[in-house]
Amino acid sequence: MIKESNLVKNIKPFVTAKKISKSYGNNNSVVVLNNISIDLFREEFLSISGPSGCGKTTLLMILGCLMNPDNGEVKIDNFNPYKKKSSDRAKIRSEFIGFIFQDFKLIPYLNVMENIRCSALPLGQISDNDKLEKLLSILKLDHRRLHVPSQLSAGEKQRTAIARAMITSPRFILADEPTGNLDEENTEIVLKALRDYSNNNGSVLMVSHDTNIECFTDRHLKMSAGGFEEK
Amino acid sequence: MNIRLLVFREIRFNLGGFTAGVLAIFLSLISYLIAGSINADLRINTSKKLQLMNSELNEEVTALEDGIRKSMKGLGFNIYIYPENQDLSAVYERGYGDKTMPENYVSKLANSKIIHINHLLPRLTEMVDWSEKDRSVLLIGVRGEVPIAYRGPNIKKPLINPVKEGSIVLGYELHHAYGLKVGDKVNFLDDEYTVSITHKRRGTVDDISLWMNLSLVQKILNKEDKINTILALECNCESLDRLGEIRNEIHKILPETKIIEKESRALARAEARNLTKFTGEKQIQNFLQSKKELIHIQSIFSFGFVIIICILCSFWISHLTISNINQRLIEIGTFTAIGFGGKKIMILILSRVLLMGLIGGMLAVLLFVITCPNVFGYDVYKNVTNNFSFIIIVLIAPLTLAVMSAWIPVLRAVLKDPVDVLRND
Ligand SMILES: Nc1ncnc2c1ncn2[C@@H]1O[C@H](COP(=O)(O)OP(=O)(O)OP(=O)(O)O)[C@@H](O)[C@H]1O
Ligand SMILES: [Mg+2]
Repeated sequence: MIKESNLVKNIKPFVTAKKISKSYGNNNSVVVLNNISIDLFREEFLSISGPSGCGKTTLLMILGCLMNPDNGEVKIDNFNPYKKKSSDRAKIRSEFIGFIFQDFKLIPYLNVMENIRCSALPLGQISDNDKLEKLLSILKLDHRRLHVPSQLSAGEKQRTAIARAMITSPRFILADEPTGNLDEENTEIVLKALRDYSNNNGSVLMVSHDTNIECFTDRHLKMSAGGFEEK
Repeated sequence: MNIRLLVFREIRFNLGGFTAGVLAIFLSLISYLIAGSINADLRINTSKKLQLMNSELNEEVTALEDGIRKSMKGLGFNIYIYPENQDLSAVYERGYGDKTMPENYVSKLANSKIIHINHLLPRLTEMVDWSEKDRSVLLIGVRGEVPIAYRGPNIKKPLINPVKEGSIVLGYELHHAYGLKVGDKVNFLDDEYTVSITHKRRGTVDDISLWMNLSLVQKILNKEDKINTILALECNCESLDRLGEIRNEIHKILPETKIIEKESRALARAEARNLTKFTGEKQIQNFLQSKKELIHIQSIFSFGFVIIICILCSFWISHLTISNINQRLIEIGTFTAIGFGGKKIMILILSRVLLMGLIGGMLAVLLFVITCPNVFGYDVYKNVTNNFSFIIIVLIAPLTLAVMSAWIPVLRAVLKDPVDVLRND
């Protein structure tokens, strides 16, 4: 179901993918995405679930301007990032997109605060201290701010990664199984943070092989090998 | 938060690899500086030794020259003037010349302003058969001394008086063999002469010589107004190349003549001096040549060694960079996802490498500046550092070596697709 507000306020989706196909391997023998289309609206929390290997991460990479699809068209705010130079795509990523990964992907030599701030670096911004403090407090990282990743628990790491994705206030967040390695309590914190983000002018696309996530999100799509299941 | 902080944090995190890279650069540069110092040391020592050898030789030659000057001082020397076409080997063989020149040559000299010559004695000499005694004699026609006009008549007492017409002077063999004494009459080639002087034994060709008046001899030999040599006695010239100077002077007046010096002690010493100078210079040349070869070989070997070290260090740095990048693939992928462009990622990795070069280079220079003056001496230190190429190499080489060694791995890292490492596994 599409959020009512979206239907009223933003008929046009912020991110669209039309008839995307992607194959891997020699002669493109492994077909992963086959002619799929998807929209992400403003202030929407969209989740996609599906079995392992069905192409969820591949889809996120394509939407995240990191991998050119073989066929089909991606549009972010009405322009196709794959028609631009790779340096422009890097700029789009830093301005519009926040990434969250299942295995956090924190920079091992930076402490929590530096890890969060580093995503503002490509924008040439000096990150907003109030925002940083707010994120640290919301994500319960206050007391961990000077710790490096090796000193953090999985939950703390993922909360740091979420703060890093949010510090630049990107237009949308792509979260690849963000709760995959977390306990119940941390799962709840993460989902709540993403929920709040989508409620505050951002969009979130979260993928997971866990079908239970659908009850937390505005809209849910089920993916099976190559495409979405008809609902 | 900036790139610099990222670079420093990463270096602190992977300090081991970074230190190893610094060490590689340090080793490369310090080996270059040591090789340069060793070569400069050899060069400087060689030129010092060369200076010493030169000054020793100069001293030796100067001492010999002093000796020559002393032995020449106040002591005139004698020269012979021959016609230009006179074969000198004939002169040395026979003791006299067979070619003739006009007698007025001597008056030309006598009327010139010649300064180095004091006495001029023209002669006409020829081996003739003394038919009355059935033997060969060396017939010498002499005119006595020809006064040098501008000096006036009586400045010096004439060395040799002329033989009067009708008189004859006999060498030892000639009067001794026939028991002739001063005042005796003797027949020579159909004419009668009075013996005016009999010489003592000299052990030279003089002993079989017979002196007569020049004009008479010219008539006897059918060589009117001809002479074959001018003996110039008591020549004075203080310079070492006295013969050269006199030759110059005489040739200006009598260009068609040849001048040789009668053997003298001074001449022998001058020859010794020339020989000493020649062998000394030869020795110095040999020394220089062998040292030059040594310097050449040493610099080839030492710089070959440096190049090998640099190549090894370059491999080392490149290996370190590859392993650093492999360690950081996820980090690089993450930075890409966050929005770092290829350029920023390149700067991130290359800054680390440049810092390696900078610190390694600085440490090498520091060690060199502290130790070189003590180990090799200040001269060598100055020689190595007072050099434009030194500054260039010290400033640029460590950085270039570091960047060049890391370039390919860095490029590969930047061009690598970040998706592979970002996929959750
Ligand atoms: N470079 C590649 N070459 C060949 N096959 C690949 C490559 N990358 C991914 N695949 C395959 O593509 C398929 C989809 O991969 P993807 O990572 O998108 O799946 P996923 O849905 O995210 O799985 P998971 O839930 O396990 O993360 C998988 O079967 C994977 O093996
Ligand atoms: Mg995946």
